[in-house]
Amino acid sequence: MEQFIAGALTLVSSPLSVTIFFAGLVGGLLFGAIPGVSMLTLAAIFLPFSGLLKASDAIMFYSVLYCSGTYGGAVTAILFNIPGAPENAPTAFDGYPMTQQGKAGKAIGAAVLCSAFGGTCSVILMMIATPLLADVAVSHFGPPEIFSLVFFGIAVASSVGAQTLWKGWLSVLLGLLMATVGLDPVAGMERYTFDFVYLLAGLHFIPVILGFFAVAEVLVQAERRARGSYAMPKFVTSFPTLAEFWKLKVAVARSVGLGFFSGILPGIGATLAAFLSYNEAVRWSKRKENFGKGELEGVVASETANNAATGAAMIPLLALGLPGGALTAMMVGVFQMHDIEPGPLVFINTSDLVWVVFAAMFFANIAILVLGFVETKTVLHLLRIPFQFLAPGILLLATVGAYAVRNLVMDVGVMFVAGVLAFFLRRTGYSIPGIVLGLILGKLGEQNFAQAMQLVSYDFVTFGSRPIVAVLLLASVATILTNVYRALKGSRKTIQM
Amino acid sequence: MGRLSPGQWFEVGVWLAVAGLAYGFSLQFDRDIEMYRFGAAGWPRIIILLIALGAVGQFVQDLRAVPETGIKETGYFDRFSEHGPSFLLRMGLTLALPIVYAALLQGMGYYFLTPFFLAGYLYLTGERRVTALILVPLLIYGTVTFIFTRLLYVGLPTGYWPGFYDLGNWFVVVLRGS
Repeated sequence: MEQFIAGALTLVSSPLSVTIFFAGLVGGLLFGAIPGVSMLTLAAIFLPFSGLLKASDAIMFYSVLYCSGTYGGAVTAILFNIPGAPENAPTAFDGYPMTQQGKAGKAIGAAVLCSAFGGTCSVILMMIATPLLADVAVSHFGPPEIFSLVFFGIAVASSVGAQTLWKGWLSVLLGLLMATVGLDPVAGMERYTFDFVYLLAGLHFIPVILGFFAVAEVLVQAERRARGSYAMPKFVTSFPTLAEFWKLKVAVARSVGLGFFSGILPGIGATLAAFLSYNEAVRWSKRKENFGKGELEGVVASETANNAATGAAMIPLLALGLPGGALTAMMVGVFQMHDIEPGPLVFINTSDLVWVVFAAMFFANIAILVLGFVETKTVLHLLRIPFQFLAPGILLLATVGAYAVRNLVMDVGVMFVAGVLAFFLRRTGYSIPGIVLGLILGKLGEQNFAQAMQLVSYDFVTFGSRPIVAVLLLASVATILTNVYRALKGSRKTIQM
Repeated sequence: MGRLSPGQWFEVGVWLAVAGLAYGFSLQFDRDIEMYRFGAAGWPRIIILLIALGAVGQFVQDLRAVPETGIKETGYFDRFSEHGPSFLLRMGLTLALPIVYAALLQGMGYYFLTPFFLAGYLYLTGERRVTALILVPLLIYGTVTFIFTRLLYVGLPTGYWPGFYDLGNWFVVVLRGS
């Protein structure tokens, strides 16, 4: 506790540190909300200048940016179905339908509160348990366990948002197939590239996600206007009540746990945390059929988990020097620019720096709560703009966002083709969340499966006898069987009708 | 068992075609990898097999759900025929316009092409007032272009076709003031 107070005092005693704190906070909120120029863009722009700052200020900037940037993307996901980053994609599944029902205030309010709560819990857990958790998570989670976790995520995702079980599976499988485009993860052999250099790196998921969500949504609304069935979203700024949150306490606690756990694992991070948490919310809910149609619990699960992953991601970075994602990898660079080697010695040699970072992340999550509500009050007014004026703006933002990722016009083409494809898939009852999850998990799953097979010398008994693998595979099989049983029961009812 | 609608046949046909084509193209990289027994084609082929099984599963479910008499017309594609040619034309253009824009973007560049794309989209979404068709695209285009080109320094495509390239570059120079 004394160390935390000392860290907080160091932070507030320097005007420059306070300025950098707010720069990271506001920068993350803004850059997180604009597709294509995510918090990573700002992080990359800032990297050369971080060498000019004190080590603690530079590291603090990145950790605060990580917290606020992860929340920032939720706003556009909810208002316009444009996730600012992949980890905000599950937020759009229910957040955007809530906007269409005139509940945008509730959805953004929930996102603000849950992001702040998930992030704060994560920071507290991080402060208490960094050395212990890092050791346990990293030493017990190898490729077989990560593959099993991915498989479990896929098994659960197949039941989200599709008209039938089969369409759910086909959606996830389409995403997995799309993820095979590019170089194979073992030997770097070209697959489905058709000698096209652009496809060597695979389909980048930012343009695909922008197409699946933003472009497809504009097309769906344009079709509604053409049919004459379009209704403008109502403008209501009512925030969720405490009673509504209290009802979701179990979902929040579960999402904090899942988010924190996923955040610790290198390479898993906030995206899988948000998807897993969303899937689990669907699995345990009594109102499964409401998910994807504007269920508050969907927003709560996704936003709590992705922010809970931010504090946890610092654990392997600080305790073992292992970055879990792009932003934490940049932080390794910042450490090295200041001649500090992240790892166990950081706690001994530069413990004051570590505690300034912990304190900054704690205050950043509290500040998200305040700034988020102020932001909500202002951005909700965007909903007053008629759709025909909003649609070109959304398309243009998505175009620039898709292009800015890699400066490739081809990415814009991929986005629009994905948008048209998603339009038809949505209209025929397939699950866009399922496809996106398949696309994101595909590479990770294949890579870890290949490594796992080599590790266990292709012996499936050895593979399945690892305790965590066994538990996750059994849970996956149970999920699949439950879904099949429900589908059969449903189809029997249909036939009887 | 009744008959399936053309839309349902189309759906299963598309999935089986996707599986067939993906399998066919997988022959191009069906080579052994020394350190990995399943090779580069192993993982995609499992997915392809499951897609084929999923398509058949959906087909069987559709077949079982069809009433004993007549065709069950519930699919999205089946409902297309309910609308007149003007709806189909408008939807066709709405779906095609973004792809045409993306196809021309490389050559004509963002700076020249975008206002026309935005005005076209505005027209397709039902706006018919001439002032709105001119001012709204210019406002959106101006704001987004200023933010990204001037403030965020994102280099947007200038085009490479003669004339368009010069125009795009001139625009960037004017916006950035350098």
